[in-house]
Order: sequence, then C-alpha cells, then structure tokens
Amino acid sequence: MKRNDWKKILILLLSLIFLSGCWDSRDINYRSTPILMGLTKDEDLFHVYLIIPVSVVSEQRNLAKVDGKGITIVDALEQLKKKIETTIDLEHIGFIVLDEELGKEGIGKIINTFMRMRDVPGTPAIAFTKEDMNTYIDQMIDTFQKVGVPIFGFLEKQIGWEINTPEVILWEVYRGIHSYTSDISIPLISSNKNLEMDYFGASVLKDGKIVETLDSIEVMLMNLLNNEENVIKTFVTIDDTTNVELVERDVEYDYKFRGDEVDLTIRLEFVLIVSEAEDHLNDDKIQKMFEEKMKKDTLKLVKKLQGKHADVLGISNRIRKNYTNAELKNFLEEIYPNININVDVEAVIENNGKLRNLNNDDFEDWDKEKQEQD
Amino acid sequence: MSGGKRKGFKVKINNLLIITFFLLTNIGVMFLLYPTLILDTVDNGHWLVVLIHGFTHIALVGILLFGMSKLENPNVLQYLPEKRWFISIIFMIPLSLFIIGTVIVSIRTYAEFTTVLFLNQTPILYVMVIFVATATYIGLGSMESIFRTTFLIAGASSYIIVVIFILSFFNAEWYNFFPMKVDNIDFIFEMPFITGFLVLSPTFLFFAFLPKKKKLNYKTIFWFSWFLIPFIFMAAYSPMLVFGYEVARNFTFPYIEMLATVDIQWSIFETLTSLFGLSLLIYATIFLGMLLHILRMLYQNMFRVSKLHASVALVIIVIIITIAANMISTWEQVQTHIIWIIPLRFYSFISLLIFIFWIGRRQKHET
Amino acid sequence: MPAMDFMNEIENLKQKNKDLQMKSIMINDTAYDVIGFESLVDFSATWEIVEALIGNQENKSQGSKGFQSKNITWNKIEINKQMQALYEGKLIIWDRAEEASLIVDPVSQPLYRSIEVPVNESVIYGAKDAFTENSQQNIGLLRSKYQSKDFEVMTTQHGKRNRRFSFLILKGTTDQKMVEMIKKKIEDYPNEIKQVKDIHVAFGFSKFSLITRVSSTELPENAMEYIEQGKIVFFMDGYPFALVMFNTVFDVFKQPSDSNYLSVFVYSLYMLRIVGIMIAVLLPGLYVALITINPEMLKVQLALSITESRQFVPYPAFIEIIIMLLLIELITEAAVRLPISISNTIGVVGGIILGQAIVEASLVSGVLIIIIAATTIANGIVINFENGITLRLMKYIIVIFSALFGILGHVIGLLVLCSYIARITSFGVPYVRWKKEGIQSENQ
Repeated sequence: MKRNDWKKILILLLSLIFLSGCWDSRDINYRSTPILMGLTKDEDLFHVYLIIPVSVVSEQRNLAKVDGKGITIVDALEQLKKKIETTIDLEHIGFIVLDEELGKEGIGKIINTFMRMRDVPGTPAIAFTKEDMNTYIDQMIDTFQKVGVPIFGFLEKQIGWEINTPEVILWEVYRGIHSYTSDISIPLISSNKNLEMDYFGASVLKDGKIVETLDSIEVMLMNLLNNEENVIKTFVTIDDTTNVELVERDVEYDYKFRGDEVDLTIRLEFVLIVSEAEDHLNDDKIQKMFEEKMKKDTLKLVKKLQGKHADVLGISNRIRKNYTNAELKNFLEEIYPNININVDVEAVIENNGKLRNLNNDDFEDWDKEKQEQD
Repeated sequence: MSGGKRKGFKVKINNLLIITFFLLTNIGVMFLLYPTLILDTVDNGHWLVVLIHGFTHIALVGILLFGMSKLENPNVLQYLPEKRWFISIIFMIPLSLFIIGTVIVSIRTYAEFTTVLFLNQTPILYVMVIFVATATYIGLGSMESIFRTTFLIAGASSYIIVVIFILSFFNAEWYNFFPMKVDNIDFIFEMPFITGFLVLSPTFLFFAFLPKKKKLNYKTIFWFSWFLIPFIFMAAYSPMLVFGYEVARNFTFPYIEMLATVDIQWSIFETLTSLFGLSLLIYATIFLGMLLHILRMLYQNMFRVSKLHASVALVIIVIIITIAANMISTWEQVQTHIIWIIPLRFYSFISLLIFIFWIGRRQKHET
Repeated sequence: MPAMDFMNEIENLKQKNKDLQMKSIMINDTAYDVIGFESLVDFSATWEIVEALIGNQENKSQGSKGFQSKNITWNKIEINKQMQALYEGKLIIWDRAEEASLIVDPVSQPLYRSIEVPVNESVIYGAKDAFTENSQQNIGLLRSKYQSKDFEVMTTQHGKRNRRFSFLILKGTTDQKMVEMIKKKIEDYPNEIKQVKDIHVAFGFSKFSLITRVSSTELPENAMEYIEQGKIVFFMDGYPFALVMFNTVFDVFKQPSDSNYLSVFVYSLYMLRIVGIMIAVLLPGLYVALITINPEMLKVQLALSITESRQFVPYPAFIEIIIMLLLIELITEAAVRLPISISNTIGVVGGIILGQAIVEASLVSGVLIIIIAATTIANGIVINFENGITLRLMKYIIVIFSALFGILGHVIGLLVLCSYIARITSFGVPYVRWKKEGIQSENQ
C-alpha cells in the first residue's frame, strides 16, 4: 500500500520531466565538427576560419572551409554559424592557428576567451602563421586532399612531433601567460605545397605579446632544457662536416644564493653517437667541439631571453620554493634578469655508429714509440 | 566481491558498506567546491590549511563515532523523550534547516557544473529536477538500501575513479608545489577558511542515524576515515601542481579544468573530464539521497507521523527545495548562500554532539 | 452400509470417467476388486504385484517374506481419502467380504520423462542431469547428491489441484522458521497456484518487479549448492525446475559448476560476465546519449565515421535504436516459438539478410548494427535465462533516460536501477548481499 503511494508520486515527478519534452539537441549527423580554427583580424574585425570535414558517402572525406567576421571572436563564430545549416560543435578542434599580427598586439584576451568558452576544449595545439590566413587555410585543405596527410592530431607529441619543433597546447599557453614564473613560446608555421607545414621557429610570448623569436636550433635547446620526458633521437650539427646524435640527456639546475644575488649553473649531460664526421677527428675532439657549441648556444639563448624578461626555459620555476607568492609576482621583472647564469656541458660519446673511429685508437701513442725505437 | 578480510583485521560486510558509502560521498562532495575554497583561503602554504581541515574533520568523525559507540542504539532519534517539542526546536529544526540549506546549495552547484560540462542546452531547472528526483527516489528507500546502492555504484565506477586519480598527475610539475612557506596564520579568522572549515561535515551526519540491525565496529570505520586526508590533498593540490597557484585560482572548477588537460590516446572518449564528472555527480546524488533520508527521519520523529506521511511530506519539501534552488540565479549568489548556512552548520553539529552526550549521561543514570 | 456407499461411488465415478477400471479377482475363494485409473496405472504390469500382495496376505500367519506386507494393512478407510488416492494414481484393492480396502502403489503409466541432459542451462564441466516434471524424482536427484540424515524434505499440498510443494531442508544451514513461514504463505493463499507468478503473488511480492525473486534452476548441482548457501529451494509438482528463494545479485554472474575450472580462469570468467552485463545494459543507452546529446565525448575519428554512416538515416537515434531493438526481440522470440529446424532459418534471415538490407536501405546506421549485435551477444552471457530477461528490460530504461538527458541521464538511469535493485528484499532479506548475510541474522 505504502509502496504504491510513493510510486504514484514518483511517476508524477517523472512525468514532469517527460512533459518537459526534448530541447534543442541535434543528432550527430546534423552537427559539424571543425578540426582546425584560423583566427585573424581584418580592420578591427575578427575573422574566423574553420576547416570542417564534410562527410559524403564516397570513400574519401572532403574538407570544407567556412569563415565569418565579427567584432569579437564569439560574434565572428555566430556570423559563421549563420552561414551553414548544421550546428557547429567546437569540442573537436585540435588545432588553432593565429595570425602573427595578433600576437604582436597581444593574444592574452583571445586565449582567455577560448579558455572561458564552454565548448572549446583545453587541448588544441596553438600556432602562429605569418601567411595570409585565407591562403594558409586553402593550402592546408589542398595539401590534405592531395597528399592525404593525417589531419587528426598533427603537432601532437605522440604523433609527428620532433624535438626541434615547439609544441604547445591551449592550456599551456594560458598557464604561460598567467604564471608568475614562466612564459611560453608558440610555434611559427606556414603551409607548404609539398608537406604538411613548415616551421620557422617559435615566438616567445610575454604577457601575451610576442617579444622575441627563436630559430629552430634555439627551439631545440629550449625543448632539451625544459621538457623532462620527451627526449627523442635528435641530430645536432656541430659544423659543416660534423653531426652527432643525442641519445640521452640530463639537466640539473644548481642555485646558489649570495645575499640578493642568485647564481645558477645549468649542468647539461649528454650521451652521443657520432653520425657524421671528418676522418681525422677523434672522439675527444668531437666531444670538445660539441660541448663548446652547446655551451655557447645555450648561454646565448639564456642571455637573449633574460634581456627580454621572458623565461621559457623553466629557470625560474625551479626557484619557486625560495619565495612566497607575493614575492613571485614581480619575479620575472626584478630577479630573473639578474640571475648569474653559467652553463656546464658534459658529453660522452657512446659509439661511432656502425664504423669504428680508428683515430682514437688508444694504442696509437704506444705504436709510435715502438716505431721510433726501431 | 571480496568482503572478508583486509589488511589483517576483519572488516565485516556492514562496516565495509558504510566505509564505502563514507568515502564515496566524500569524494563526490570534495572535488567540486573544495579546491576553490582552498585556493581562496591563503596565498602560501595551502598544505597547512588542508591539514587543519583534514584533521579537524577526522577528529569530529572520531568524536561522533566515539559518542555513538557508547550508545546502545545506533540511531539517536530512538532516544527522543516523550515531550519532544524542546528538543525539536533546539536540535532537530536547526539540523533540518541545515540539511535543507545544504541540499539547495548542492543541487544548484551540481546543476551548474553539469551545464558547464555536458548539457549546454538544457535549462538548469530540468537538470536540478532530475537530480533532486533521483535523490528523492534514493532517499525514500531504507538507509540500508542506500548503502547497498553505493556498493553497486562503487563496483561499477571505482576503477574509473582510480584510473583518473592516477592520471590526474599526468601533467603535474613538482615545482608548482611551491611556494610552501607559511608567512602568517591570520587566515584562520578569515571568511574563506571558515567557509571551508567542516564543509564536508554533512557527509558524516548519517553516523548518528544508522539503522538498528547494524552491528558496527566503530574503530574500523574511524581508521578508514583517515583515507580522507590523501583525498583532500589530491583535491586541493592536483590543480595546483598542473597550473600553479596563480593560474589554478582563476578557474571555477579547478580540478575539472585540470582533468581537461589530460589528453589520453587510448580511451574511446575524448576526455576524462566527463567520466570523472559523471562519477562525481552520481556520488553526489547518493549523498543528497542520504541527506533527504535523514530529513525524512527527522520529520517523522518530530511530528510522530507514519512513514507514508513523512514520505509525502518529503516530496513536498523537495519540491519547495527545487523552487528555492531555481530562484538562485547567479553563481555569485550560490557563494553567498554557502556562507549563510555556515552558522547553522556549526550550531547543528555542536547540538548533535551535546545531544549524544546527554543521551549517554541519561543512559548511565538509568542503569 | 459403507460397502454399498463405496461401490456406488465407484459406479458413479465410472459413469463419468471412462478410464476408471474395476477388475475382479478371486484368490483363495475371496473376491477382490481392483480399482484404478487406466490412464494412470499400468494394469498388466501391476497385476503381479496385486497377486503377490494378496497371496502374501493370506500367508501372513506363516511368517511373511513380502516386503510390502509390513506397512500395508487392510483398513476401513474413509471414502474421500480413497477417492483422493485414486486421483493420485494409486490402486485400491477392495475386499468385498470384509469391506476393507488396501491402497497400493502400482506400476504407473510412463507419464514422466526420464532424466535428461539440461536444455536451458548448458554446462561444460559439471553434472549433466536435469530436473523433470516429477518432483519425487527431483528430490531423489538431490538426495543422491547429499546422502546424509541432515537432508530433510517437507511437503505441503495446495488448492483444488492438490499441487504438491516440497521444501528441501539442510539442517543447520536452512532457516527452518523461514521455511515454515513460506510454507504457510503457500497454504494460506486463497487462489489456485498455477504458475510461478502465483507464487510471487502468494508471497506478497510485486507482480511488476524487474527482478525474479523466486528464480528457477534446472540443474540439481546448482540447486544443491544453493541449499548449502542457505537459500531456500523448493519444488512445485509439474514444474521441471527447482525454485530458489533469496538469490543474490552475485548469482547473475556466478554459477556453482564454474568451480570445476582453474581458479584464475574462473575469476577472468567473472570479469568477462560483469563486462558482458555492463555492455548488455549500458551500450544501447550510451549510443543514444553520444549520438543525440553528447557527441563531443567521442573521439573525432569515431564521430566522423558515425556521422558518415548515419548520413541518410531519417529519424533520431532514439527511434532508430528502438526499431532495431524491437527487431532483435522479435527474432529472439520467434526463434523460441518455432521448431528448432526452422528457427535456424529465422536466425539467418533476421541476422544476416535483414541486417545487411536494413543498412543498405539506410534505415539504420551501420554502427548501430554493431552495437545491437554486441548487446544481444552480451545479453546471453548471464547465468540464468531469467536474469537475461531482466537485463533485456533494463536496457530500455537506460535508453529512455539517455534519450532525455544524454550521458548524464545515462548514469542517472544506472543509479536509479542500482537503487531499485538495492531496495529489493524478499521477507527482509536483501537482494544485494553476500551469500549468507541476512538469512542467518534472521536466524538468531
């Protein structure tokens, strides 16, 4: 008896829900899922481009370009949505390309908007392009349809990533802009007729504005210093004729405090494989050349960044523990440029590939002595 | 499935059910609001706040369990005296108001969270209705059935939670743990700390209203409640470890944003966020169901009515709750309402403990 | 007087039932009448027994050797009882002179099939005998598995049909009070108990329950195991299954004969079954939720391929899945109804031809076919057919919730179902419990 009564009540409650009916929800085949977004500015108006895979019944998938202009990003997206009949879901965007001009003005607000929007995920990769956005998008679509490069998950660490290309995702950019102790660098790319894309290095952002550009070797150094886990096989060119392969790498930061001064020694340890060398060089020489080159380049990079008050190498992150949050607020302006940085490189040559290096024969000296005696 | 023995000492099934319920509801309540509260409390040394909160929480659970273990009947409502208007006014009505307030704020919070996470287009009222209807359905069952529901749900979702807890350290950077210096302890008298203080307390209210049949080992339950401290740490610190304090502070739901950064290749689903969010919502719904169940018991004992009457009354109260929750229109208001129920929270806990103490004294005199 | 009454009754009965036979026999100058239903008693085979019996009776003074004679005595039995005995398939020997009668167990007609291999619950490693319609035989099967004095049988009869219910009691394990109570519930039930549903009603359980509280098993091995677990097992005459009370949620994926495998394999099997149950209940709802309301949860690649396969499907996912589920239910039911030789054809037509054609006609998407196939297969993995039915029904609830609230509705539906299962109790014993919990606490 009791049971029946509250069952009735429950049915009433449920029917309330049922009566409310269906609201605006559309099946998956009435939705478009853009995978790439391009953002630029045309005379004070934001111009948004989207690449949408258009599913047709044929085996091949086609890509479509849609664009819209508006006063704000959301407005531009709304304008764009008016153009097509399907609902647009931004949840699957994997890649956001920004015009480099935007970066010069400052992208802080744009990134904030993306983080704020409910339907943009936190995980798309971010890049700048120097090209005209329209050409870039067309080129991308063209490349994909001709060459058939996978368009999902490019620029992702697990897929085609290499150490001398920078890779950042939206939330990292957001963190880089708002963090007290670190900044972020965003890759500079352009489309290419043959390949998927070209890299021109990276732009260093400071409070959302581009303050410096890094070339691809500097980017590689940045990744070596900063990315803890992702060491992949990398070739480093020492000079015209010599090339080594990095197998392992270890970075240590030693801080010493002398009153207000901070001394930092960055200790880099490498394990190498010689991959290309002149015949007359022995291991010691190659090693020395490598160490000198790394030291010089790293110091140059560090000094360059210190001058711009931007820290993309994670130097400041590691002294967070000595300060309070209030002190960290102006860390990059006041303390970071004054850190005395020294670089220490140690390299070990593991082997010479498939060939032996006869130059560094340990018996060589002994042999000579023997000959002289004779 | 493996009910029998754990870690050397025997855990009876009853205890296991209660422990599961206790831990799950705590997880459900903790991970949404708690990180924000912690981040608002102080600039430096959040670990101290976390520890203070955690230990007071466990201490209170301990006192409550100790008090209950001295009573013969595990339900305090069995000890109500014949003339109960005095106790009704001084103890039961504030407690009921506290529960109602908590339910209102909770469903509003969870509905907000849901619309952020999955149902962009659904009006918030309908989301609240589905939560509250489910919670009522759960609350109308017996307390034992709530425990058993939790057990089934735990069986279906616990592995997801474990995987997510592991993956939540995927993007963590150890140096974001710092700065950890504590420069002052003035925060103890400030509003965010007091708001966060005992914010989890409704989760252990049920210890005072257990059904009669249960034979419990209060000590075991107490020792298991120590598991809360790692959970609290995880709730507060995983967003900070990924973003750093200064960035994590900006998010409405820092833990959820932190999970959104985890990009996994092997899952069929795009992100873990939704799975975790769903688990949280189920746990929270069970928690609300329990609160409503206690509310029904209070009502039934306050007015000495039949179970059916109390159930009908509960449904009416729930409808009022839903309307009230629907009147809270902004997220800011939710925050102010959380502050409103703070005095009730402290009052009802102190009065509950005093009531248990009083019962114990009376019991002693009688024998 | 009684003699006349008796003969009249018999004559009367004979008028109405042509299969009632009355044969006379003269042994040692005494006339006896042998009465019985021809349809129940094999007269030609029984004749020898009768002769031996009466012969023995005559020689009783010289010390009997016949084993029947000890417990059979000539009596003046009430007419009603004798009539009852006739209907139960017994034989009455009527001594005209002394007006006394003897009720004899004859050789009965072969009305019951012999013990066969189980049809509904197939086992690979495990005892291969199955219960039959004859509850005496069933009890015998169990006694042969538990040869001890602890094993007792309690019987009651109910209703106009005189249906016999036999309760099996294992001393020290089975809760006697509970058995008494259940027995009383059956005895007190005013209406006829025809099917298992009537037992549910007699016990006061809801008719619309999703979970069978009185489940059936065909395997004596399982029944014995259940008795040893403290569950109450009883037989209803004419129903070739043992009825089990107080089954638990664990019985959905555990069965006693599993233990004949390696332990590691058994645990993997449990995991597999749990996964199967999850798939059977949750997958269709998940499809609806992900297609209709929350496509953002899918990976891009998956989302695009589903989009492609749904390109020309004219109606929403909810309708689509309901159509397909309905079709599968039709195929299943049709295969049950039809003779085995034809039901294979149904499988081929339904599964292969229809499935292929329906996708090509763009009535449903190709992905859905996979979902439906997975669901149907997974549905078969649970231990009992009854549990399979429960799962079949539950998935619709989840589908409806999913269609309304997307992925949130999906889990809320799961929560509601869990809560529903958790509050199911039979006589205070919860359904979600460990083996003996609850049953034993009632004991104390």
